Amino acid sequence: MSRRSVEWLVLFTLALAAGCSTHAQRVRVAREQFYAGNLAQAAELFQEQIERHPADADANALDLAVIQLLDGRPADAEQTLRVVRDNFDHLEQSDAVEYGISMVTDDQRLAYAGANHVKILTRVMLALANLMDDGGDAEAYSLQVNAKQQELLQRATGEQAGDVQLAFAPLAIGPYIHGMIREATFNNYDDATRAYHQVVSWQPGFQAGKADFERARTGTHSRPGHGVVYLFALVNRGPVKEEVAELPTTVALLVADRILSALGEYELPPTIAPIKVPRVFVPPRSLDSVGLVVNGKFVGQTETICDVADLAARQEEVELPNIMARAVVRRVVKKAAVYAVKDHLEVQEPLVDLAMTAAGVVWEATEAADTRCWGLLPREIQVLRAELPAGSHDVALLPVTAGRPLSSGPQLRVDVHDGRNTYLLACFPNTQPIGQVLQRSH
Amino acid sequence: MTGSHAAGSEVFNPLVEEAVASLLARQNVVVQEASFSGAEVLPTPKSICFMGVENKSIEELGDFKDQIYQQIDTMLVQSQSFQPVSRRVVESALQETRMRPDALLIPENMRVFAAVLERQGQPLNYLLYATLTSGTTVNNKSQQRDYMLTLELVNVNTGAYDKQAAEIRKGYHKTRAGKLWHYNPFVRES
Repeated sequence: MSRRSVEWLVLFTLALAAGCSTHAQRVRVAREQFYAGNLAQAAELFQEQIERHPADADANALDLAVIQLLDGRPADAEQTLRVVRDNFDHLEQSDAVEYGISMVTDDQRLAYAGANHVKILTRVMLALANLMDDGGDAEAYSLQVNAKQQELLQRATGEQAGDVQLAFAPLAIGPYIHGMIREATFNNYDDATRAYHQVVSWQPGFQAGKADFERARTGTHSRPGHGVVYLFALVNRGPVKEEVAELPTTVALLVADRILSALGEYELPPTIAPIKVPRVFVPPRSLDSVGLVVNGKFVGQTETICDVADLAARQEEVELPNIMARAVVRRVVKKAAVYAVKDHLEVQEPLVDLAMTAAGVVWEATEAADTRCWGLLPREIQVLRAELPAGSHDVALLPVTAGRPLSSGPQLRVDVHDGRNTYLLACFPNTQPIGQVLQRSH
Repeated sequence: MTGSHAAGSEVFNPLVEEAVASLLARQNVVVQEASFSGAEVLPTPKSICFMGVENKSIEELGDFKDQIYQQIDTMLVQSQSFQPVSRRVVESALQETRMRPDALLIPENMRVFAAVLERQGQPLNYLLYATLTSGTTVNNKSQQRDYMLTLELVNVNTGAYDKQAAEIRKGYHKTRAGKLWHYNPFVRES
């Protein structure tokens, strides 16, 4: 083998090595800016990432949408989320060429199609964003939450169907929003009753669900001269993906063996060194809930209607064996490619052999885990319903920790309209809120 | 499109058409007979308040519910026998009175509700309720579901009511053998 060939091989390896940082590393500063409350800077950084890394554009757009929403621009957030939702739906069809490229590079080369729970949560956040705007499409989005779940469930076949069913245990927030909207029409209590029945069945721990169900079944939306305030709170920092090196599990090796058998010319080696995989990491909880104080009186505190962290963890359980299997296959393919080149070029010189082996090691080492995810989602989406007399009220939102509300929190004036819903949306990644408290009546 | 595990437009459309057409045909005869007195006089459309579709079936209607509502409402408008009160006006009156639609059948509630509508320039003659029900028969991996749409027309002044129902049967089979075994040209299959 000529010296020039070796130089080309090394250059090729270095070219692959370029840009092997993970998504998590690239957006770390932008996320830090968000949690520091610098929404404008965070938005700018995510926008920069969208332009610089087109393959990560949708993952970054999801985070950008959260910033737009909390910056008081729900219409922009809805528009951003709608584009991502449509892209995800489009990317549900797999691309063989792209998959082939990912086999010699890493999963980051695959277009980001969003994890299944992200597809569902996109619709949840669309519903919330729309509620904070004109509210005209919120009901449609709420119906799409369950429709998408059903679609994903029906698509799951084979051995993993059971796991997938567990991972996609229906989300109560979809019917909750649907029931909330239908109840406010004063004419569709049957829909509201059905929706709240689903909430109670799917999330028995949601205590307010029982009262909602009873009210929809036998009562009315609100007493005369009263309106209803719904406080939606995005509580605690949500799950993110981090790169870790792990030994492949037995299940992953089994899946990898099947893929290799399908490829035909490769075999699974007896041992595999640790591989880089993305794992879900959930930051520690900072607060339990958010308390609502109206005109100086504590009215109640929010309850979890959607546990995002739990959803992400269940999703990971289903996806991880496949991700590991792909990493194992990639390693086998890369090793086989290096040996094939050596054989083909009949490498005799020890130095060249060493150089090629080193290039192979670098090639493997350049691989990075696909940590693309919706990192600015909260750990929990919580809600509180409060019936209040129509009129203007002084409202304070207080973070609740260890069962006790803290003394300070955002304060605002809330207008409650007779027989109508007023929606509030606040984000508490920790005891300090981020962005604006949004308010809208429909 | 045919729903593979739930009803779709192929079930709801004929249900609505049949039930509403039958009810209107009968009401038209009643109205015309009542108005006949030798000279040809066109009957005045009766003011009707369509209270919406109540779903008591096993399936969620999702976005179909509003479509069924609009279909029925459109047929009422086109009939020229009835003049429906706008849905927004109905909901606004329900909001004002804080009454549930099913509570309007109590005479006192009906009077209060009619008074609110009258104040808004919408005198009321009839209330119309639509209810969707279902009954399911299961046989191994196949099931048969009967869907029934019932329309109840209540005369606000006399309390008299008329009722019309339409029914459709649909079979759901998980296997082709089941589909073949239960084949019936008069039942919708999926």
